[in-house]
Amino acid sequence: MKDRINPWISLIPVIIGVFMVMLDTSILNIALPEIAQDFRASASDVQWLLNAYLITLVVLLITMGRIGDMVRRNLLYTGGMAIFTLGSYLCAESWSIGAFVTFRIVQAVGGAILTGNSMALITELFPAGKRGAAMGVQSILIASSFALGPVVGGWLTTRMGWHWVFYINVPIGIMGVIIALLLLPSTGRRVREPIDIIGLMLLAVGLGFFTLGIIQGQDWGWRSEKTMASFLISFSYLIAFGVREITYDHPILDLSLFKIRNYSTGILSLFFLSLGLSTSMLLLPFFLQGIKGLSAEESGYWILPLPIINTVIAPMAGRLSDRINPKIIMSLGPVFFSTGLFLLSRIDMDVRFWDLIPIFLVLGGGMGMLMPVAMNVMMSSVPIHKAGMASGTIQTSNSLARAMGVAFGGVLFTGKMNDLIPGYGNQIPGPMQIEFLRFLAGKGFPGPLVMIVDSFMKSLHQVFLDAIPLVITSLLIILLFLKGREHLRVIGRTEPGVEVAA
Amino acid sequence: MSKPVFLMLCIAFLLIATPVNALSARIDFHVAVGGDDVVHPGDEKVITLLVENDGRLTVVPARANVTQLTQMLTMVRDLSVEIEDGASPIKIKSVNPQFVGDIPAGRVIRVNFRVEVPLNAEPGSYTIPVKLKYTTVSYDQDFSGAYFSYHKDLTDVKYVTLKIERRDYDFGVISVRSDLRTDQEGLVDVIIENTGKNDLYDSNLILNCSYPLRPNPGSISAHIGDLKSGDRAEVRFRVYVMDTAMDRTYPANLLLTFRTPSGIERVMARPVGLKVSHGASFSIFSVKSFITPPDTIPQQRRSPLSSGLSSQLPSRIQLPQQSSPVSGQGYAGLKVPSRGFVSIGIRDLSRNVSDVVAVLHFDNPLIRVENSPALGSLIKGDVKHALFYVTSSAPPGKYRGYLLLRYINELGDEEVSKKYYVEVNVSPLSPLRVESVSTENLGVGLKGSLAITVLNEMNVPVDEAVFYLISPEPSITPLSSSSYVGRIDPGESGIVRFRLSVSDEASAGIYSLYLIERYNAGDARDLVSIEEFPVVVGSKKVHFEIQSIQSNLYPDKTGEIVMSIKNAGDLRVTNAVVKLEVAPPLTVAGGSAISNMLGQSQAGMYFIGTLKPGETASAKFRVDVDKDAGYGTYPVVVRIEYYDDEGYSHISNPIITSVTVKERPLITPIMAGAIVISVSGLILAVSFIRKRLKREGQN
Repeated sequence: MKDRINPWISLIPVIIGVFMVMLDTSILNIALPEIAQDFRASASDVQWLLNAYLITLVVLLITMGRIGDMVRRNLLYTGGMAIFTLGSYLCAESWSIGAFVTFRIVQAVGGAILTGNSMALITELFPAGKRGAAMGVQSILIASSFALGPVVGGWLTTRMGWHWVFYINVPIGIMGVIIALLLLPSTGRRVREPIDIIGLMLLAVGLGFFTLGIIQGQDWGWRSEKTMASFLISFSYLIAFGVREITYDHPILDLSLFKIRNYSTGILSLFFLSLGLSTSMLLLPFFLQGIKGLSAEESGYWILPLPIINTVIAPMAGRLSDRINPKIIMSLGPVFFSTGLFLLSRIDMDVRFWDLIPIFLVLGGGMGMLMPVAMNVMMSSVPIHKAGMASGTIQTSNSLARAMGVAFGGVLFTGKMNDLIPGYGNQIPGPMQIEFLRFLAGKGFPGPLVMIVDSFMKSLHQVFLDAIPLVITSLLIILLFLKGREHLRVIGRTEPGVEVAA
Repeated sequence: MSKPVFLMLCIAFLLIATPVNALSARIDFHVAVGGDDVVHPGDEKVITLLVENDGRLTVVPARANVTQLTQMLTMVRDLSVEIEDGASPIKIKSVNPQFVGDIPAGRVIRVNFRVEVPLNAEPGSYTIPVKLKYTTVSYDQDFSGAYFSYHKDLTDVKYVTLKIERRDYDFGVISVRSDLRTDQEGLVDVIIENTGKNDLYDSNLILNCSYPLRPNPGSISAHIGDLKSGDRAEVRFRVYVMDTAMDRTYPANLLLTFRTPSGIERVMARPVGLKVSHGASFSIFSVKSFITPPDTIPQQRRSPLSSGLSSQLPSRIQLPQQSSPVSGQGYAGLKVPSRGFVSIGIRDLSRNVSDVVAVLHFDNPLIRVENSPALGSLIKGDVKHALFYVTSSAPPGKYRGYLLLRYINELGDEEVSKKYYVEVNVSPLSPLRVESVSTENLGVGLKGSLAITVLNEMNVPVDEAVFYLISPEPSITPLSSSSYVGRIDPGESGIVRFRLSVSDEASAGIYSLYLIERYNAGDARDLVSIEEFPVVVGSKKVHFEIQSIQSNLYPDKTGEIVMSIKNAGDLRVTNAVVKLEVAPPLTVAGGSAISNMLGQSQAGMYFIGTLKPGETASAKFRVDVDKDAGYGTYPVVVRIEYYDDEGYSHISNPIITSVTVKERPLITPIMAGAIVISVSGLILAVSFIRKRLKREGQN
């Protein structure tokens, strides 16, 4: 019975799960200051609430995607939603930072299941040639969460307290579990294969240390022994993981996937786009809340045009990618996005909301043109029984790209700040610091404020400009390596559930 | 014989038979006015009465030798003539009665009387009785002999007629009121009356007077206009009296010019007298002065005091814009003037004046009067005291000044009185004398207390006493520049307390400081005097030494600095906090985001508590070393903030020392562990390959 449900109906629980996880990423940033105050915790302790979640997510994405290939994915997805909901509830009830971090790991396990299997579910629900629109919907959710997170998080934190940032997931999650049980058809093959625990451990250590080095490198110093040790361990263990996957009969990650040209191209292009996206978008909230003096809610409203246009463009682009050569659409994405970055590099501190709208429209359009199309191309190019593995790998790559982008953006920004203000340090000036400098200026000491704001704007412009080559790299990869016609051929020949020869 | 003959014989017989023994005369007078018998109202003239002795014998003797006898008998003796008053409005001004003497019969004598006719005398003909009082002689002879009898105090009254007639054109001065004083302008009020028969047309009244009187040109004449007969007019003149005028009445003339009905211009004059009083309008008494000498505060050229000093002194003390240099020493002196008062009593002797302002001025420019008190209105006999505040830069001694009074006189004009000279004395001694000075904890590099005992040597209490401490020495800084004592009774002492800071650059010894005293004494407010006094600064008493400093600093790491600090001075310090200041590439661990953002390092602090002289304590700090820091020695600055036994906080001089950033060892424990883990990973990879190859080999 469930197998005959319209796939768009079945997509609802998938959307719910993806949206919960994506929103949770940006919503928590707003609540961090209040959490720190509540627990009387230091900034570094609170930062581990994010780090622990991200590391756990990155480590488990591929694995959970692979497990989804081996079990009934719908049940795994439903279970992941339940774990995420439980983890959210436990986070809201935390009594200490240590407990909070632990429950965030629990939440991340659920998040890894949901994120690692969402594209696989879409691939299984929709036949080739019909997946583009659905991928577009997922892209909308990803883009929307980036803008809606501060708005929802600010509203909840201000009016109801930080606990409700997590409590809000509970009813949604419960509803999502029920809907998933009712609407998700039985998907995935029950392939009885052993789970490569050693590979899992190697991947966990490798990816874990790699992610740790990326997210802590700015604080420790890129040449500090801790950072270098992290990368040393991660590289050796990733090598070991790679060797394991090559030599093992039942790998967690079949490296032959990377022999599929469109898949590899899509991963690389998305990686560089995500890298450029997070490098540049990292600083927008600091600009809006610090320099412009907006609240977190207001800055979310200012960024809303970005997901709004993405909502319009992404489904259209996704659908078009099943009809025309996706290379065309995917090529336009980086062009638009880099144009948007160039326009951002020209804004000044007095920029108005209406001046930013066209820039965000260009940026959102670029994202909408590339992301869903790339996901469609990638998922359509892999065998369906490896959809979970492929989906997990894509999400892992994007997550790493986002983490690296944040670090890269921080390095670029603070490096420029140090050029302009010798001895500046390695912090991005937050809203509270800017507010304090405004207070000093009001007392007759305007010098520091002028200096910081001037340097901030120059550094901001530089980061936007520096992110453009990353996006252009994405474009070059698409232009040089993507075979658009291959995608059309593949979708022209496939039906749901039919394997494609590896 | 006939009858006629018989009668003649009888008569002859009677005449012959009658003996000549009683002879008297019958005295009679004739009195008349000699000359013009008409007088006019307002006249004062001499009228002459002609008195004739019309004496006759009543019996004429036939003897030939009765001629002399006849003269004797008919002579009026001791005649006095009196015009009786009251019968007319005419007043007799001369002696009345007048003694004439003896008048033989048939003689006419002239008796002159000065008479005054009142201006308001009614015209008419008046019969005036003239009383004559005289003595006669009578002769009598009888059988015993002949003898004479004197008959005294015989009177007779005769009448004369005088006519009072108005002149055709005449005026009389009814009253002249003047209040003239030497060296002042006064008023003369004149009332005149048209005493003539006719009206006066277009009449003008002019006051004509001569030196030392001078009419104000603006009021020398007044136009009266038409003045009917009998009407009066009142005119006011202003007259200035020179200071050379004496105390007497000076003559002046009132000239009345007018036009007759027929248009003829005529002038009439009347003399008047204007009384001038010679004497001052005001007198001064009870001159009291209270002025103390100024003082010169030396200041070094490189550290001018005046800008900071001005803000400390009372605002009324005006300092010179530039200090006056004293050549040859490299020092400049800043003269601080004193402030005192002069009190003068003023009595109004004669005038009613208003808006009186007293102005005191000294010839010596070093004494400057600050105020000109307003005394308000004064009437004759009023006494007021004027209090002047003076600022003095003059040395001790006596000085002369003068007082002027500006006022509005009765006329509404502003006048200035003459100068009243006063003498004031600038006393060589300050009334609040520094009796003793004591210090606590005042040494080089320290902050200490200063207590000054001040004695009130005046006989009035001092109120609201505020003392300001001035230090010309740049190494000694008052931390509290003023001290309020309040009231000090005569003969009593007050204690003034200050806090001083002595820099490390000062040398131990005796320094001169200056105490500026501001107080109220009696009615005088904000008096200022200056005292110089010595202060002893002791040698350095608190001193710290860093005995050792150890550090384990590596680039891109947080390390520790441990230093040992000794109290090498003489004083116990409490609540001591060691402050460490470092410069990039070192930063004190845990600095604020803002300071890091601005590239500024916050000072690290370590509490070491109480340190007795000779004791040592350790201070530890954690310091971040920038990842780009090179190996080598970097300077750090150490200060110790502490409290003395009185609870005052101090901060030591900066102690500069150094720390060493060492080269990071190639292999740290973290790196060693990472290498081990990495190698294990690689070993696993190799093992996987070997297993695979082995299995493929088996297959």
